[in-house]
Amino acid sequence: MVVKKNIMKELEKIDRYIYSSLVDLLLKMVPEYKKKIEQSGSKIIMPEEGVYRFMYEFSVCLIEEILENIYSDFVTNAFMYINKVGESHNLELQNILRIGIFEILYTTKELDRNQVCNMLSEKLQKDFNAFSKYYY
Amino acid sequence: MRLLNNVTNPQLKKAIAYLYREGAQYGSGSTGAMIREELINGTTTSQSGSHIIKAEGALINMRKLLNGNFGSLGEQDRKIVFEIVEDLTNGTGLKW
Repeated sequence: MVVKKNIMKELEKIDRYIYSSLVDLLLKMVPEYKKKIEQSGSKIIMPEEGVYRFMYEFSVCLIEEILENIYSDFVTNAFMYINKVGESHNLELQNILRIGIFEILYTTKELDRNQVCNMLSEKLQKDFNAFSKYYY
Repeated sequence: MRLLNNVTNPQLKKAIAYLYREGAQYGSGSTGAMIREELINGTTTSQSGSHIIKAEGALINMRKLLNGNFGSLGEQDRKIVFEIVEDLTNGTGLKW
């Protein structure tokens, strides 16, 4: 029982490490997003709610920015961040991008999928377009 | 969409928008439906990814909503929270 508890604690540490690394990198690479969070007075989602929820909130903000001005610093830096994380071979990070960001962008009907796809690296374009199997 | 129109708690509205996607080819477009699809087709390691961890986090969020961490929930909102929980746990291997 104690061993199981300790293992769970260690696994939680890994989750928290992934979460804080991704969030720190995002706030560093996309300072415009950090500014937006600060201006809105909203809090950064706590780790227990998960990195997927955090990425969803980021995606919602990114969608607004794309619709307003796709050439803005926010959008440019956001895709630089996404493509940078996408270089990783870590399966968990790849999953976070797919489920946390790509699925949200892919299923937002106001967005031009081709336009979004073109901002992704070649490797990530395949992941983005894989959602065509699940969504119209 | 039906769920979104029937809830009043703002955090619950956000949670629904997070968990349900429009335009799904199979099922309701819910995160639970995607997990069931992944389990049937064994696609959890393919390019489409796995929704299981997203669902785990969402269940924690549902518990917080029921505990009143995000304001009070009316009867209808509570009913919808349990509907979401059912969707996230039914046939997905996740426990409530």
